[in-house]
Amino acid sequence: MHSAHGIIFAYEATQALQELVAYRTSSSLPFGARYRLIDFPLSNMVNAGISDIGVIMQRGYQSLLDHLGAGRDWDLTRRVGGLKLLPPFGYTDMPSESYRSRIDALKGVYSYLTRIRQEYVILCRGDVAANIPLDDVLRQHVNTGADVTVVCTPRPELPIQESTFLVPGGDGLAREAITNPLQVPSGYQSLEHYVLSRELLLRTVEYGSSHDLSARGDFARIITETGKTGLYLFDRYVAAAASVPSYYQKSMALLRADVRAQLFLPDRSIKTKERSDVATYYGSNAKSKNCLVADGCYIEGEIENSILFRGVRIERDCVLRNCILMQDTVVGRDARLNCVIADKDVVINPGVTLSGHEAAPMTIGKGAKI
Amino acid sequence: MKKKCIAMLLAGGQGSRLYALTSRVAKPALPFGGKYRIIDFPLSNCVNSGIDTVGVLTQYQPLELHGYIGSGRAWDLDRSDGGISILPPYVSTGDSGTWYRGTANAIYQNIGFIELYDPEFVLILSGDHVYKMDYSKMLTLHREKNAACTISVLEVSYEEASRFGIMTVDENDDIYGFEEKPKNPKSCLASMGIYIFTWQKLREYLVADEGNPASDNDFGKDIIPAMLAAGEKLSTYRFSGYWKDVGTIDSLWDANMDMLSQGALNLFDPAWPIRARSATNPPHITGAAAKTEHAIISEGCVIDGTVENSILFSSVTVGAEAAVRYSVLMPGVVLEPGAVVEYAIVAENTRIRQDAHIGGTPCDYPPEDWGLTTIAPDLIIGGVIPPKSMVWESGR
Repeated sequence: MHSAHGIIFAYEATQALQELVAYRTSSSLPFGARYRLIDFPLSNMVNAGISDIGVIMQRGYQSLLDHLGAGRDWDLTRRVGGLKLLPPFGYTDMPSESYRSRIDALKGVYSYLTRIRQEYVILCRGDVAANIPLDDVLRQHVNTGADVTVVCTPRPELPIQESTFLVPGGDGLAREAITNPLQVPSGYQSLEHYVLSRELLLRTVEYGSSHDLSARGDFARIITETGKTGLYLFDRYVAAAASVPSYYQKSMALLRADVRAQLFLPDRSIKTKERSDVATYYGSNAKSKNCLVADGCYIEGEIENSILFRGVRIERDCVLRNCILMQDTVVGRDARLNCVIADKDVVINPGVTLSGHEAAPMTIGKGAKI
Repeated sequence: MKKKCIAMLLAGGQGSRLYALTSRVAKPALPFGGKYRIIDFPLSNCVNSGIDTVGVLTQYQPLELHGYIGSGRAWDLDRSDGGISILPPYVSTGDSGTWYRGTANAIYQNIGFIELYDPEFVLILSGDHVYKMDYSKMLTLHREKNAACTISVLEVSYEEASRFGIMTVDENDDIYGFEEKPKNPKSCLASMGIYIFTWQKLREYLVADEGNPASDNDFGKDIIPAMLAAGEKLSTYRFSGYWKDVGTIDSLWDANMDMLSQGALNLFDPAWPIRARSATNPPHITGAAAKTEHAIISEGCVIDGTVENSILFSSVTVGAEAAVRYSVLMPGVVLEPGAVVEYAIVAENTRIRQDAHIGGTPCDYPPEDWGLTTIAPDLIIGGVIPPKSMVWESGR
């Protein structure tokens, strides 16, 4: 069993997510009725036997800090190692804007990288929801003798022009890498989940930083040009929240049993912050059809094709269809909502009617009172 | 380190009147109310009352209970000083040592544990009841009165009084008479089995009682009467509020159903949280044909059928066209499509086959023929199981 250290890039806030990232980074985006996107890479790492994980953050990370805590809920509270939260360390030439690239981010935590004890490092984006067997990826990486292995998807999920595509060459290796294409090329899209040795990681960061290679995609480019690039094809459900409509669509897909079966596996469970809610209560007038509902909800109205996060309250005579309601949102009596995404702690007053469209759902920001 | 008051929680009983439900698990570890186990109530009450040191005395089928308690983290009882300690019976030098012979003997055998904390007061609790209570108020009263023992009491109806230990008190609420399950009760003040003792006094009486071969080594039958007879000051703390014994099938079902009516015991109250240790489960899902009315549904459930007036624990599956009414389905229960369960308690991981009809509605039967149906854990059940049955084995 090879030893690996985990690194999660959790410092970005995808602008296309608008209000949903007003108070948080993309990795902290609530997803699937009780999770946040970062729970998926974190759980994937823990399920692969990785117990030392560094999470790189930069700004707007209150939400992440609150969610991750000391890593207890992922079994990552250890006396030695465990979860390490990595806001920027000070260093003299640090730019004041956001990390421009992976190299930049890794430079920002360089001293942490030098103290990694394991032979391999697995680096993941924090804002991709998928149940990926990282131990399998590591095994393939070792068996193929690749210098770096990249987890790829056959169906592009991330914005094309900011991603890398790998063309398979057989035997689990890639023969070509295409970075930042203008339109969809052949090959499989990188999910920005990498496995490489600690040494190669350090050398890459040193090289990239001393040559001021900090454009987006440079990390992908350097490592794929380095030597043998391994390609691990992951063809099951992936949700990358690239925009509000795609977040909505990917969320609604969770209402299908076949999709849920790809994301929630009993022997590779997705762990999240425990909130100790009571179980959900359905009142005598409640109707719940085709809904994904977390604990702590109190439902007296009608909900259909919707996703309810923890602690949501739906009063009598409401009708909600095709909605995503995040934690502790309250919907008053007689309200009518269709295709609405409500962030945490939203209050919809009695009688209010709101409607969006599947392709353009209406988003209500955190704490808003309508 | 010295503690003012520690709690000793008696969780060793079999709960024999729960038959099939406790055949392999101790009563305090029984699932309750969708998310909890019975022991969550006394444990949460302790923590909320400021008691951070709890000894849990186990004996009967403790495996699931021990596993559930773990380090005590779920109740904030994983402390470096104090916290939760599991206390099963043990052997001493020369292979001596016995199983716990009675409630008092169990505490007697753990005098060593108690003395680690050198407490002034010891709170004795059981893991048999569902209730919320601030023990610190009871302790304050005990100290003000300078009593040797304070017993928490509840007013019950005259008809029920003969099921309890009944106290007769003077104008100061101090006890002058005590009867176990009297045929003709002299009052309606029932003992809740919750005691606070001044430790040095309790210690004396435990040692004396142990030396008495005729004793049953029981608090209610031996220790309390001995203290009373010796003229010790025994006081009462009057409790009001929801308090339910869950020692019989009927009362367990009743108490679960009470959780559906929001008034009885407010589990949503953030001021007095009842904490439980939850397994990792995805959110529950209701299908296109699901009906969920007046029900509690926990995480991991998959509902494609009808759920009415029922409590579903985690990871329960209700197949298409299946129906569950007025029932309690414990974790992992599966109702195959078309199965019907009414007025029943189905224990963990049992599978109800599609042709099954479990239990029945009271109005369809003469009163003497109707009762709750209980199904043991880990079974596969098909066919018709009439009301008032208990099923221990797979079949049909």
